[in-house]
This record gives sequence, C-alpha cells and structure tokens, in this order.
Amino acid sequence: MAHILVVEDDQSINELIVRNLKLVGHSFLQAFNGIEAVKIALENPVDLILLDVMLPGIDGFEVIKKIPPTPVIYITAKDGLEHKLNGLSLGADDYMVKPFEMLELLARIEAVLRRTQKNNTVFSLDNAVIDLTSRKAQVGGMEIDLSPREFELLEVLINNRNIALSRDKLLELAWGYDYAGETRTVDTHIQKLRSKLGWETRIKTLYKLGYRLEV
Amino acid sequence: MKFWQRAYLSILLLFILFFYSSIFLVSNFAYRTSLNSERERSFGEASFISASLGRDLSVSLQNDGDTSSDVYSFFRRYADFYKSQDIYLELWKNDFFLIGNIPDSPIKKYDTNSEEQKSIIVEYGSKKYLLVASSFLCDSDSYTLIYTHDLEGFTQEHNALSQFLMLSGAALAALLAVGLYFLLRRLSKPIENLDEATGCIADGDYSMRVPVHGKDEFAALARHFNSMADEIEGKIHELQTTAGQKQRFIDNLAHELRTPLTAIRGYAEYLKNANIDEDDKIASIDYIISEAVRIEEMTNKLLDLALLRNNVLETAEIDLPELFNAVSDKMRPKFSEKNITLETSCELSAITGDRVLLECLLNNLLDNAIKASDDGATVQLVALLENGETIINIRDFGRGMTEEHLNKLTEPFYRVDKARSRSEGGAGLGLALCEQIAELHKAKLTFSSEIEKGTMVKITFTTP
Repeated sequence: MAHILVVEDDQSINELIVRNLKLVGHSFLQAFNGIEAVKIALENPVDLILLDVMLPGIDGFEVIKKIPPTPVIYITAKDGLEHKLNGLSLGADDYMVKPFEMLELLARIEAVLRRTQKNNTVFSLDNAVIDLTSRKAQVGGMEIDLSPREFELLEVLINNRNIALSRDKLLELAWGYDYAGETRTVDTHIQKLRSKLGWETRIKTLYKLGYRLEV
Repeated sequence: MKFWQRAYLSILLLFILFFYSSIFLVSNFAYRTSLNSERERSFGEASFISASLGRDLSVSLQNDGDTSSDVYSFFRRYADFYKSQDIYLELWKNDFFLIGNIPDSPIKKYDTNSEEQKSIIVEYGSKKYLLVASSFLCDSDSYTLIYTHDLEGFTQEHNALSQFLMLSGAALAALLAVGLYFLLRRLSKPIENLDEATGCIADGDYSMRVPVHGKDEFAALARHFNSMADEIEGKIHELQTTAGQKQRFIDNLAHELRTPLTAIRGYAEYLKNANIDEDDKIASIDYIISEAVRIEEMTNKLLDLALLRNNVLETAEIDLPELFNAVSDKMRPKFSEKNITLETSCELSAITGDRVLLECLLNNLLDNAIKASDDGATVQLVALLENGETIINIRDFGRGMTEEHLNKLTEPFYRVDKARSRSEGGAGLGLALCEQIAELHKAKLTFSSEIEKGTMVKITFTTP
C-alpha cells in the first residue's frame, strides 16, 4: 500500500499511529522531531506525511517548507481556526485535531491517498482480486457481480483490515450516517460477500465486536 | 444647552440689562439737570425782558401819558431781537391778549400765580417749548409776559447724547459678546476635556487621561479623575491578567489531559479491535499504564499546588549544607545520566523553613537546570549572604531563554519550548510549584537568562 512518514514527538502516540498503519498494510517511517523529519523526508520519498504541528526543534509548518512537495495531513492539538487555515494554505491536504479516533485517521489517510495516488489500488487475497479504483472484483480470474452497497462494504473492510468493526460502525462507514437501517442488513451483506469472494474464514465474526477482515 | 452657552447668554443679557438701565438713568439725569439750568436761564431772561419792557412803558407813560400804541412797538423790538435766539414772546394786559409771535399759540391765559405754572413745557404744533410767565405793573395795569423758548435744539442735543450712549452701549455689548465667548470657551475647556475623557472611559478605553493645567478646581478635579482612571486601568489590567492566566490554565489543563487520553483511548481501541499478537498486546498495555501514570503525576502536582495555596508552614531550623548534600544525592542519577557536574558551595550553616518543601523546590529547579543543559555541562548550586538576606542561586550554562518567557515561567503548564519539555516528561507545573513554595517561605524567585548562555534562578529569603 502506501509508504507513510509519521512525525509526532509524543512517543506513545507516534507508536499508536504506526501500529494502526501497519495493521491496514501501510509501510512507515518514524520521526520524533522536526529536524529528524526533514532529514528522513529528504532521504526517503514517501507517499504521505502525518505531521504534528508542535514539534521540538522546528515546527510542522517549517518542516513542510524544507522538503519536496509531499501530501501531508497535519495533526494539531489546538483546534484554533488560525491553525487550520495556516495548515491548509501551506499545502496541507487535511488536518486532524487531537484527540482523534484511529478509524477516522485511517479514513482520512485513504481519502488523501486516493486523491493523490495515480496508480491503481488493487487488493488481492486468496483467489480474490479487487480493484478499488475501477470498482471491479474477480475470483479465480472470473469477474463477479457486486452490488454498489456490497462494494462499499468491501472497501471499508479492506481499508480497515485487521481491525474489528462493529455493525454500527459498518453501517456508518458503508451506508452513511443518515442511513436508518437495521444492523441485520450488515449481516446479510457480509454473508453475501463471504460467499461471493470465498472469504468464509477471512471475514471473521467476533463475539460482541462485529466483523474483521483478517489478512 | 451647554454650561458655557448658558453662562454666556446669562452674562450677556445681564450686562445689557444693567448697562442700558444705567444709560437710561444717566441720560435722564443729564436731561433734567440741563432742563433745570435752561429753566433758570429762561426765568432770568423772562424777568429781564419783562423788567425792561416795564421800564420802557413807565418812561413812555411819563413822556406822553399814553402807552397803548407804544406797547406794540416796544414789544416788537424785543420779540424781533429774541426771535433769532429761538425765543418767542407774548404779552397780556389784565388777562387780555395784546400781542405775540409764538407760532401756533393757542392764545390761552396761563395762571402765573401758581408755582407749577411758572415754568411749564408746552407743545404747540409739533414743537416743544419751555414756557415762563413774568408779570409786571405799569400804571395800575397788570401785564404778563409769556416767554417761550423753543426746545428743539435742546432736545436734539439730548437725543444725540442718548443715541451716542446707545450706540457705544451696543458696541461695548458686541465687544463683550466676543470677549466673553472666547473667555468662556477657554474657561469651560477643562470641563469639555473631562467630559471627553469620561466618555472614553465609559466606552471602555481605560488608557484615556485628562490634560492638567493650572491649579484651580478643574485642575484638581482632572488630577483626581486621572488618578481614579489610573486605579481603574490598573484594576482592569489586573483582572484581565488573572482572567488570561485562568483561561490559559484551563486551556493548558485540557491540552495536557488530551494527549495522554488520546493515547490511552487509542491503545484501548487497538487492543479491542486489532488482530494482534501477545507482544503487541503487552506493549500496548504498557503504553496505557505509562500514560495513566503521567496523568496521575500531573494531578498529584496540581493537588500539591492547590494544597500549598492553603498551607501553613511548619518551619524549623534546617542544616543547609546537609540539605544540599541530600538534594544532590537524590538528583545524582539524573546528573550522571547526562554526565553533568553539580558544583555546590554553601556559605551559610542554617536556614529556617519547611525541609520537605525546600527540598522539593531545589529538586525542581535543579531538574530544570539539567533539562536546559547539554551533556557534560556544569550546574551550580550556591548559598550566600547578600545585604543580610539569604540567597540561594541555581545556575546552568544551557540553552537559556528570551525575555518574553521570564514573566510567564511560573504560570502552571507554561513551557518555554512546548514540545521539548513534554518529551522530557515535564508537565509544566514545576515552577508554579516552586513559586508557591517560595511564597510560603516569604522568599522571592527571580529569573535571569540569556539565550545559549544559561539561566540563573535566584531565591531571595527575606526572613533569615
């Protein structure tokens, strides 16, 4: 998937982000201060930088001026408007205000990557090959039919693989906030995906948690 | 209507009223006086003419025994002579009109015996005359001479005087109006200034001051007003500072809690939802524990701060060299970690205070010194007597800081380098705690610093 540089001076939060990135299949680099971040970004081209604004040495806004243009999501502790404006006018693609939910961060990362990455994103597991860009799925070389809603759900599962998603969360992510359906709908769609893709063991049902695509 | 306008109009009206009353009185008095003298003169002249006429008639009577025709020619002689002086005459004999040249005369008999009738002012036609009657006897006949003096010239003179007085009065009033305007504007200027300033202050501009000139009541009022404004500005500033500090405290507290809470929540969710192995789980749990400890430490320090605020000091005589030794022993691991040398020098044997708190104070200050220093640097801890006051100096030769930070150093959660000291484990409460401890000991903390040269903290104990 993508190669991401995580710049955050707080050890525990840096680790947390990195662990979650690892779960959904991204590779990563870590930096704990501004100078280190600039050094790493200059030596290693990355697809995206997650950049804390308040950094020891030089701050996030300074870092972005010193490196070649790269997609960036700022992470700030203060939700002051000036910070947002400053960040976005400096070529930020998005920003996150602490404290944030990891699923939210992952979703933003996917969105930015989809906007900025030109190559096709293809995910394959077992016999199934899913092209997220052209929205087509094949099993054993044979194209299969997926309803738009099924594909939405599949995309959510792939983007958050290895993370358990509750039925409510899946409804929210794949159907949208305003969908007033029942969680039973999720179950039937999951069943269809399992049988269509041959992922009976891949999409696990977790007691009290929901579903998880395990890779 | 403004005060100065009211004063202006009142003064001007009063002036005009009194001035014209005076003019009226004066001109009236002058008129009477000159009329009286005119009257005296007329009496004199009338008596003279009647006496002369009487004499002429007696002479003519003695000469030819008959006067009836001579009377006319005598009279005409006098009348023609006096006419050029605006004096006209009339002659009556035994209550019968004989001859006269008074223009428009009603030919009326005046009672000349009555005192008031001796001189009166009459109006014939459109002209005013002063009329005087004078009687004389000749050959058992009673003659009355009516003497009238045309008052036109006299009235004109009087009118001219009145007019002059009126005009000069008007000119003076105009001058007064102009002078008074400028004078009152000038005198009321301090009131306007005050009005302006109070308006500004009422609108919230507390920096406004009134210019003070002279030593009158307005100047005193302005001075008092200014000192009141000073007081208010100071108080408002104080309130704003306190409010700002409180707001910063709350902002900072929220922020300080947010970071560890973000981590705790994140790791908890990670543990719950992620497909991970045992090692990963343990590492995540360790992070949750260390973040919880961080919050605990911070709340403990906040609690200390709150408790210290209401604390009564338990003071005792403390052996200062021994305290220094205890502190440096305790801090040794931190010093050796960065290979920093601690130089202590103690010129004093004892100090009065709370041992636990003083140790906490020194620990915190030394901790900051270590954080600011580079590896292998030196930190000094010195106690000395200066002007009879006990001084303890803690000095490092590290990064230092700019002037702007010095004032806010002791505010809770204030950090000079926000990100750096957090990564070094501080909550930004150490110096706030230090100041509380110093305050309890009636001591003062002063900071002096220079970028890249180091920082010195001076604790001045006012009580030995």
